[in-house]
Amino acid sequence: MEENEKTDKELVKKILEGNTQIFEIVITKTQGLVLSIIYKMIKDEEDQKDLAQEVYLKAFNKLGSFNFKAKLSTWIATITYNTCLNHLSKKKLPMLNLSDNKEKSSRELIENQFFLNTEIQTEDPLIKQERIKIVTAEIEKLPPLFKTIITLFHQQELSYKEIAMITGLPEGTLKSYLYRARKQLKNNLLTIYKKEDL
Amino acid sequence: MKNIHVSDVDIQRFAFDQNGCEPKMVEHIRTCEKCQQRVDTYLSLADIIKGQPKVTPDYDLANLVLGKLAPSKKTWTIYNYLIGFIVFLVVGVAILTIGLYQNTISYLLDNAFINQAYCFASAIIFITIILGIDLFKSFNRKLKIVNA
Repeated sequence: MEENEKTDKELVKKILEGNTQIFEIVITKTQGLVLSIIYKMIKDEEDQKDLAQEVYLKAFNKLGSFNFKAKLSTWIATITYNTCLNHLSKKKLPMLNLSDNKEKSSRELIENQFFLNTEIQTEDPLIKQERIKIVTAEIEKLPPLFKTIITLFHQQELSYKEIAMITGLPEGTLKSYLYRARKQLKNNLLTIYKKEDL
Repeated sequence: MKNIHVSDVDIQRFAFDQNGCEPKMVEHIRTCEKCQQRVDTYLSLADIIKGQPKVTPDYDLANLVLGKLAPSKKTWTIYNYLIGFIVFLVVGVAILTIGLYQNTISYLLDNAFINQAYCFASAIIFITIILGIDLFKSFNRKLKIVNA
């Protein structure tokens, strides 16, 4: 963390001194996180590209106000999240559609083949790839907020604190959303798998 | 407790946030095969999510962004040389003028108004040149953003 912070400080200092080419390092370091947020929140490909550029232009212009209280990547991720949020709000698209989120209480959680089948748990790369493909497709069906927090927590491996900072959600609310997102994802997968089984 | 299975929220808490788990719940999950299986389901799901392919855009984001930013340091250096040259020129002219001024001191003392007007005009010209350069740079920067 200290090493990271030091690098962040050095980078920001050089950019503020006028060396804009150094900003390329910032983009390279953070674009994985930034794009994963944008791609989860925004569907349209052209909008994704425009927003990615908008995020970095905003970050560049606001760099002087960065106070090093968080990592530079977290700060840029916050700009990304807010930019996407504004975009969704302009297009009047819901961030979290709760009506889509109703859990099917009648459904029993079956001991399913998808997760626990010994055949699937083997390290067969083809089966693993197929499983990842199915889950990725199912994640895409979740509301933007759920998609984003699940990706930030499980794929980007950010802490609750960092995700709370990015999304502006209280930690308790964030945890609750994460529980619901995972449960919804698991139940959706079970439904599909059951259907395919029949 | 053994016959009552823990809730889904607690199963997830055990799987991903064990600090928030009650000891009784932990004990139950560790001894209950069914609950353990439910934990494994979530851990397995998390593992699959982690394995998702990373986003790789088919464009060079850094290149696109840098093209829209202010001119790089390298470009600025050319302007710096130009400014340096103009400043050098103006200072040179000023020194030359002072030299002339010393040689013709008596004459200039008699013509104080002309001397003041000359100094004032020199300053105005100098400031205008600097502002012009700044305006030109600003115009180029905006043009680059618009063209991008």
